[in-house]
Parts: sequence; structure tokens; C-alpha cells
Amino acid sequence: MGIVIIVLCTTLTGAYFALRERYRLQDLQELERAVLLLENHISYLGEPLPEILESISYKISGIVGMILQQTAKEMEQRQEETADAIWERVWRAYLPKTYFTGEDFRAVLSFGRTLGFLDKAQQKGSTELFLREIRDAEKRLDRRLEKNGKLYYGIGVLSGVLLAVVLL
Amino acid sequence: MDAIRKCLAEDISRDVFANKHIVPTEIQELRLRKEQPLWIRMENNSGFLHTDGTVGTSSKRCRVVTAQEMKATISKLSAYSLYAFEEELRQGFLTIEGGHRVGFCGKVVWGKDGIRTLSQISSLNIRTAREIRGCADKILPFLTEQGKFLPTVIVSPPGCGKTTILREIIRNISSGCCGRLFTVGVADERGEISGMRNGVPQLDLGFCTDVIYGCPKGEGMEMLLRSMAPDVIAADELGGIGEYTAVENMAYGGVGLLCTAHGGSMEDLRKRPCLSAMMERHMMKRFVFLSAAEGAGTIESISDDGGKILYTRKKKEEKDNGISDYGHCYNCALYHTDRGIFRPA
Repeated sequence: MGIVIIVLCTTLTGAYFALRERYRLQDLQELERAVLLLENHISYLGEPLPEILESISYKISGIVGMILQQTAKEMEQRQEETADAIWERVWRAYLPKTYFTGEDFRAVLSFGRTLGFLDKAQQKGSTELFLREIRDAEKRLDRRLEKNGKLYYGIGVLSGVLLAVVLL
Repeated sequence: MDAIRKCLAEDISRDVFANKHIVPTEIQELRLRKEQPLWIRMENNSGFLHTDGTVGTSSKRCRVVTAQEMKATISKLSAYSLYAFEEELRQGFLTIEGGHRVGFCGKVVWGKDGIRTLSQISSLNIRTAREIRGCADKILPFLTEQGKFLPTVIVSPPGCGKTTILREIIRNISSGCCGRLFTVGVADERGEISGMRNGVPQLDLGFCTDVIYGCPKGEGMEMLLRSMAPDVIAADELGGIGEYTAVENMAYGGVGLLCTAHGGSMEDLRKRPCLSAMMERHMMKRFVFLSAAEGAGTIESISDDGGKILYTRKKKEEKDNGISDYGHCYNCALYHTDRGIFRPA
């Protein structure tokens, strides 16, 4: 019975690592979609950020959609003196509920600092830069998942078996 | 007022709106100048805001607007989205939620096509949009004839309530004034007539009003004419050469026009090419002149296209001697005075 529990635990740990990476990829893909929509709204409709973020939040699923909705709400109420202060506060509050890493978060904050005060052309430029960063992160993660996805499960099972043998 | 309260930097908002010496609903104008005292114009009092909360003309112990507060206010006024107001900044003003107008002053960035934008904004002028129910009651009887709306221009210098009266006339005629409902199309270039927000007017324009906003008045009026079949088209601050064609199309297309223009007299209007051409060709039938003599929105006179005075305000001394404001309404053939409506003898 003990052996079964040990193998099960290590297998689940391996699965957790594999799934965490997969969920991070999903979050990054949602963020990419959101930023693409943001760029289009800014370029073609020229709407203010609270309206854009609210309208995008309905089209983006999961935690990213919730973050955008909360940001739009706080911007609408003018809760801080600058857009990046609201952006940072909301992302910090929601970060533990996401699968983003510290590297992703730094890119998100860096993009937030350019929000709102630039003209349309510069705003587009900063959005494109952020999109490139997201896509690079996605590619790296995709490659890693392809390479290591099954490995995580394998290591989980094998380390459980090894531990069981050692203990026996 | 809530729209202005939330758009000001936090400290300024608190000093103005949580101040026992200031009644928020009486504020007509706020002027913020970087590193200069905050100036407030109210219905019965105007002056600098002092550190003790009082408002007066003394320049000592004034509440000074800091550069940081100015920056925060600009950021909030633009909903953190200066890029979305490039065109408005080029023109030097923007309209915020609730139809309040904000004027800017600063360094002009000049490009090959003219003004590109404003940077280093040094002054802000926030003018409150107000709804005053009944402020157009004296005017309305003069604006229709046999159930038809007569092309009307409301004329006054800045700050005399043109837009407020325009809005009230729109609300009345599209809610069933004069025994019939008029479908009104509003070409609201800067959003200050309707205070549009997500497609919903924040200010009451009546039940039968369609608003097109964010585009130049001339084009807006043409679009309304083509698409919405209005009885009346309304626009604020007409007078540009580019708007003449649209006005001509309406005047000869059987659509009533309701607009405002800056000026103080018929002579002022004649000096402006577009308005002068409109007057010469009798495109406008009613001229309503306003002043601030008895507070913003004082109706000085109403005249027709032939220059005949239909209504005139009497001075205080004349009123004390029993002479009343006087007007003869073509529509109901009654005399309208500030002491009531009388049938002619």
C-alpha cells in the first residue's frame, strides 16, 4: 500500500510540472490574443483604454479576461493617477492565480509602463514589442513541452519506483 | 459633477469637492495652471482657492497646482489614453464623460501639415456642462410656425449658456413641444451636447434624438440628412466654411436647423463668411441673442430674418417702472412677457 502511495505521489508531481507548463502556454496564448485585439482597437478605433479593455475582456477566456475586466473597471473609476499603477496593482493581485512566471510578469509590467501616454504610432510599436516577447516565450515553452512533456511523467513514475525499491 | 471629481488629481478633488465653502453643483469653471493658484468660477463667487478652503480674489495663501497634480489630472481626464485624443489635443480641447469641456494650453508641436499635437500642457480649463430644465421656455414659442421648426441660430459670447440652451431646446422639441414630436439629429462633433458614453447620451436630449458624434459637423449633418430623415438637425458652434454646403442642403431640403454661433450682435454674424452667406440667403429664420447680464443664459432678444425684433429683454430700471420683457409669438399669436402670456387686443 505504501509503495502504491509513493509511486502515485511522485507520478502526480511529474504530472503537475508537465501540466503547469501547458497551462502557462494557454495563459500566454490568451494574453497574445488580448494584446492583438488591443493593438487593433488602438490603431483602428482609437478608443480609450477602459472601453477597449472592457470590450476585449468579454472575448478572452480564463484569468487573463478577468484581469482585463478588473483593469478596465479600475481605470473607469480613475482609481490611480496613472494607467501603469492600475495595471501593476491588478496584475500583482491576480498573479498567484495564473501560471505566468517572473519573466512573463516582468514583460507584462514593462508593457504597462507604456500604456496610455504615447501617441497611436508609439503605442502600436510598444504593443508589437510586447507581442514579440510573448511569442518568443511561447516558442521556447512549446519546444520545451515537446521535449520534456512526457519526460516529466516518466521521471515521476521512475523516481517513485526507485524510491520504493530503495525503501524495500 | 462626479465625472469631474474623479478626473481631478486626488488632492485637488478633495480640496474642491470636500470643501464646505464650495457647492459642487454651482461650479461653472475650474482653471488649473501649473505651479499657479487654482481658480474657480461659481454662480455667485469666483476667485482663487485658498489653503483654508475659501474662494476669493486675494492672491495670498492660495492653493497651488503642482506639476505632478497637473500630470495626474491630464492622465485621468484622457482616461489614461492620450493617444485616443490626438485629434482633440490638436484642436486644444476634449470633452469628457458628462459633456464637460476641457481646454488645454501648452507647447504646440508643429508639423508640415500644421499642428501635430500639444505637449508640455501648462493650463487646463474645465467648463461644466449643465442641464437647466426650463431655461428655453421663453424661446420655444418663437421657434415654430404652423407646426414647422424654423431654422434658428443661438448667438452669444463664450460662457453665456449657448450649449445649455441648445440642449434644452433639443430636449423639448424631441419630447413633444408645440403639440408634435420632432425627430432631431444632433451632429455632436466633440460630444459636448450629448456627453455620449458607449453610445448612450449622458445628458437628456429627449426621446426622438439621434446623435452622430466624433466627426466634423458638416459631414455629420450630411450623414444625418441621408440616413436618419430628421425634422431638425442641431449642431454647436457653426460658422466654418466647410459647413456651409451641409447647411445649404438642409435649408433647401426642408429640414430645420438649430445651431449656435459665437458673437454679440447681427453685425458680428455678418462679418463671418459662412453665417453672413446664410443670412443673405435667408437660410436662418430666427436669431436668439444671449448674454450673461442676469446670469448665464439671459435672453437679450429674438429676431427674425428680416431683422424684426420679436422679443426683447427690458432693463432692470424699466422693469421697476412696470415695463416687462416683451415678445409676440407668431406660432400662437400671443404676447409672451415675463408676467404671463396675453392675447393681443
